[in-house]
Amino acid sequence: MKNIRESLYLACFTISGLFFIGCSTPAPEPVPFPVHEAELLEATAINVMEAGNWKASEETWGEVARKYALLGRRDRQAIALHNQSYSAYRNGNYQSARALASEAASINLQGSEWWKNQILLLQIEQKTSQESRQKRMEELLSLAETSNLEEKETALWVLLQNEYGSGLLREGVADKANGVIHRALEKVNAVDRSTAWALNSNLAETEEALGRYDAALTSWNKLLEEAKELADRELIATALAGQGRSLWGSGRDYEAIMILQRAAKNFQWLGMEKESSELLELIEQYMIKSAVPRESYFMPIDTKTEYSEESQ
Amino acid sequence: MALNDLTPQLRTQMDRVEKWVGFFVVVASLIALGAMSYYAYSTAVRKGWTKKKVPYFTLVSSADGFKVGDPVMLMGFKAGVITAIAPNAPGEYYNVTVQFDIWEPYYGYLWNDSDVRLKSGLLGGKTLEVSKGGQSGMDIKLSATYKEENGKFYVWKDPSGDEKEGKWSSEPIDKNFMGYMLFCYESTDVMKSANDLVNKVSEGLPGVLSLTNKISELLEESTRLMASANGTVQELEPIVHNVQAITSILTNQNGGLGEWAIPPEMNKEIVDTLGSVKGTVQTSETNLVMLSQNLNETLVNLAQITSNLREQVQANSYMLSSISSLVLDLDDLVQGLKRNWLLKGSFSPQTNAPPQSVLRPTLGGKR
Repeated sequence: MKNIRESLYLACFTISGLFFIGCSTPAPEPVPFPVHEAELLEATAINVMEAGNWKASEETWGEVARKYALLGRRDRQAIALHNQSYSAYRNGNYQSARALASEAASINLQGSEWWKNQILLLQIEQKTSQESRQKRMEELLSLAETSNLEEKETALWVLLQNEYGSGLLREGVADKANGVIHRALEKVNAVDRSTAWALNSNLAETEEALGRYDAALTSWNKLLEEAKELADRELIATALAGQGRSLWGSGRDYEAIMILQRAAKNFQWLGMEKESSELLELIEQYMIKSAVPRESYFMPIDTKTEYSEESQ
Repeated sequence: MALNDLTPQLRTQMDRVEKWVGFFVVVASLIALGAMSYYAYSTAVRKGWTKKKVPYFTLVSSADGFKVGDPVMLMGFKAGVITAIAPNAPGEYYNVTVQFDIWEPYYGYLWNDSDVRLKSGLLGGKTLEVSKGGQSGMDIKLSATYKEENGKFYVWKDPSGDEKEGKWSSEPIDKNFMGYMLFCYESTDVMKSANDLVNKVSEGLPGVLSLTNKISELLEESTRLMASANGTVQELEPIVHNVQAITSILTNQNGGLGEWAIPPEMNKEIVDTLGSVKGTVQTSETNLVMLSQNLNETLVNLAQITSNLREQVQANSYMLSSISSLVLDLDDLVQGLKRNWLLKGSFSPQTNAPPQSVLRPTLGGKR
């Protein structure tokens, strides 16, 4: 009996010892410094891009891509190239953006990242070459059909349809664009709020183009509220511009001009000079049509003293 | 129980068991022998017994923190071990001699301008760290400390006395050779700081000299100006004298400007006011003097405090390296805790979310 007890004690002691020793995990593999450095730089690039500093973002992503290329991390290099391309696109460097997105696509070859590269290329080519865009769009729509993208990568399919719809709208085929965007909106649950907002915004524009100003105005009012919830100044400015256009279409000229001025001011604050000047030209056209003296409505904007729509 | 007492069947069975036991014992012995050999070999490798080595020595003020067998570091690698520590004769300037071996290939890094630095550990231990040659910036002919020919080592002899250049020893070193002497910096930080300071002062000196030249020119110019001003003042003296005469007439005689502009009552009040103003100014002056004295004392105290701090830092030259070692040791401790099965949950790795390719949908057909 005594021997059994001693054996039990010994067994318990041995098992406890093994438990303590065996449960200690081995030392974690140290991360090599170049990898650590690349990851740190990548985190910086993400922060800079989220802050909307596109110039710094373009440079930083370029550096990240170079570091990952040296480390042989092709997947991360492709992501860095894509984000560098997007930053270049936002900076207006369209040729550079196109080359970078093409390089990223040539690394990815297929899959969701490749589709993202292609959609970005569509956006870039919208600014550079309509012919290439048209050709690429046809190829992508055909490929999406054959590869059943709608079921496999619904979010990407919605983005592609949005590009297709907005392209049609730009070409003046508003009724077809309306149908495409309506179909994409059926899958709106698969995308985030910003993408859903963009789809609804494009749909509102098709309503404008089809002359349904009341429906468009209702949509823009709703979109403005959502944009304020999202606290996105670009979306707020876009919604205001849509409101202004719809009001003008509905014959409410005075309100329209006031709101369009607010929209132009917001675009100016965002540094989107092109959009701002387009709206101001629109206001001017409206004023000429209705023979309103320009000086009575439009005051020069002092961006250093005014407040934005977001803070109102 | 003797084997003869068993039945033939049982005896056959026991023979088989004995064979297996014997086999097991042989295998276990072989494994144990192999393990011991491997342990002996790895110990020999770790201690550098299998490597070629050459002797060095250095002189330090205290043997505190050293022991025979301690590692000698070079560029972060264990490059050798301390082989002997011996006190010097009472009349010697340095108190202790520390001998150490440096293994191959590390002795190739030690040249005649290499030196030894002391690094202090957390618990009072010290480590010898030899520096790579060619980095001292000394204006001497650089040479390796040892050269190997036909498996024998020859030591470099630095020039002494009238010799202009060093030379290799004519005979190879033997077991009694004490080693090549490397100078030891015991308070590296302070000496390096002082050296840097001297360098900076020498760099700044030309600027100071040019400034003094300019000041001298300015003073000469001022002297010339004063000389001409003196002449002008002498010319002005008669005019001033006349003005003085006129103003005395105006203020002191009846019908003068003083009595005409200022009635006697007002004059008295002005005199009283001026008297009180004078008293106030005197009091203010006294207070100002006291304030400046207090300020002076405060500045003196501040200077003493900073001086004490400086002295403390200079007195304990190992302070900074100790703090550095403390931080490193604490890091080791935390890394160890991270691996403990009980505590590892508290150190879950912070992983960044994987980056995404950014893509925003196109807004509107009008843009």
